Amino acid sequence: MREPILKASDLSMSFGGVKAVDKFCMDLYPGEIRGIIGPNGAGKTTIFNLFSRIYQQDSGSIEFAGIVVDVKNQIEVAQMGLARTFQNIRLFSGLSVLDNVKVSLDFSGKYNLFEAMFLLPRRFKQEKETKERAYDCLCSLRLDQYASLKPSNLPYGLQRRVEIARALVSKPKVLLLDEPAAGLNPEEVFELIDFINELHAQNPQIAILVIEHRMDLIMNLCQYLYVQNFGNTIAEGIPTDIQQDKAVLSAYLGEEEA
Amino acid sequence: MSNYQLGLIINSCISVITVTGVFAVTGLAGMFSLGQAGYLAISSYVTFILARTFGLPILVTAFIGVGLSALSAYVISVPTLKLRKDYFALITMGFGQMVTAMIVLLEKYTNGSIGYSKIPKVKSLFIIVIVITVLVVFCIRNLKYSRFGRMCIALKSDEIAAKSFGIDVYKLKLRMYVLASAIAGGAGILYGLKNRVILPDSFGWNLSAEMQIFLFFGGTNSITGAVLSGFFLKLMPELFRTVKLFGQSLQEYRTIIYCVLILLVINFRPNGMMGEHELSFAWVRSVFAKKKEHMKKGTSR
Repeated sequence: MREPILKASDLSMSFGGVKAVDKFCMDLYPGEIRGIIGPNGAGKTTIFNLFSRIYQQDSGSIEFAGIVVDVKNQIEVAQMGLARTFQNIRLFSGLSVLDNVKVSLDFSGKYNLFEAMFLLPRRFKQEKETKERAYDCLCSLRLDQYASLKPSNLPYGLQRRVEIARALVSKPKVLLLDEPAAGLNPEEVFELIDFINELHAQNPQIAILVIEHRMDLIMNLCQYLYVQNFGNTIAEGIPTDIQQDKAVLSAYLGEEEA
Repeated sequence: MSNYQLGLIINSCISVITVTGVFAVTGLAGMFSLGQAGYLAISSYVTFILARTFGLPILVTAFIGVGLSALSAYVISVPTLKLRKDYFALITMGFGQMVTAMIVLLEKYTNGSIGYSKIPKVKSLFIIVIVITVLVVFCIRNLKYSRFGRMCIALKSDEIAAKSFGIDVYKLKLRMYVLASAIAGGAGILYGLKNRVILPDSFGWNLSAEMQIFLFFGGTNSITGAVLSGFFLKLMPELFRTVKLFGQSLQEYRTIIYCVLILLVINFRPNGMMGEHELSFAWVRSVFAKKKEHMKKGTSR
């Protein structure tokens, strides 16, 4: 039996009186793409923020790569290999596209402050290595032509891809994609689906978790879905089953229950 | 060059050193510190008092002075770096004021507000200052283009995103702040050697504010801008010393002129004079290449 790389058990979190997440359970296995869908305010992003430790849960626990991470902070889980993107793109505006990608390799850099200031050989070696890795990543995602531009000069769809590249370059174990299709036009959404499928083919070991409320994206991408509504998981299963599910249809379309 | 002119250049170089230090802490790591003058004061007082009292060479006590200002920066920043940016600015400002107040109180050692003047004369100070200035600018430039510089700019742009890429924000800020304070400490010693007398007033909050003004004028994202504005804005009021306005030397209006300049910069070039441009060989080459292209096309400007 395979071990899940990311596991949530009975995860709960509330803001004041609002239960944003209520007893959420999930397993994510290496190499899988799973999705969390649900209408606005269903607690999807809260789940992501709990995984990446921006929030602390009220109860329940999270296991990542076989280690309970309930007491770890944001920086520690990131260094363990959990990378994410943000719903409202959060590229570093002061850095070029290439530097944005490089920076996610930088925490593991080997040279110290002194070597950085006095241009000692270890710095050169490492900088060359970092640049090669970042550039390879951009090339494999066909973003190399934008390497020297500032992210704010790129169209929205490309900014999304750069953000995914930045999360991907450090070869994370788990990649969390928070509404990758938000703000994209239908054409860009199809490009994005191809893009994610392609990167998954290139890095088959990475487990990807996607939040989305665009059905077309999620149905084409995910092998398994969790449907959230008002903090509760109302359904889970493979996409074709979800499409038939009564509870899901009523949550999405507001149908009267038959 | 006359001694007076050399003195002006030394003053401007000291200003370049401090502004470069402030660039590391404010320009790179985005921490708005208003207490850098305090570190100048600590290290220069410690250096010269120790040298005088124990008869140690300046070179030895200078290391102790710089070390002490780095240590006090560490002690100050451990609890305060977790605060919000504005509180951090307030606390550093309070720290700067505290240092000058302490100097006045410890009259027995520091000679209080009369000023400490038992500072030995150092030969070829000009060359020493130039070498240190070049070294500091060189180091901080290298820092900007290293992994530390990238991580700093990332954390300045977006702290939460930076954390989610494994950047230890707190540790990084701590390092940059201690580094900047050590640089400020070095500048303080040079300042003492140049003026041969140090007063608590010369390290007041207006010196800290002046450094920030210089930095913002040049552009917080550009080390070239920081260096140029640190040099020329310091030099400028001296050049107008003889110009009279309303019966007073124009130099007396220094603060007003700085304020007007800052307002103009904020209005018309919000990112400072240099914005994000850096003077580099690649940039110079590209400018020349463009000119050549224009010449070939016959559209030279």
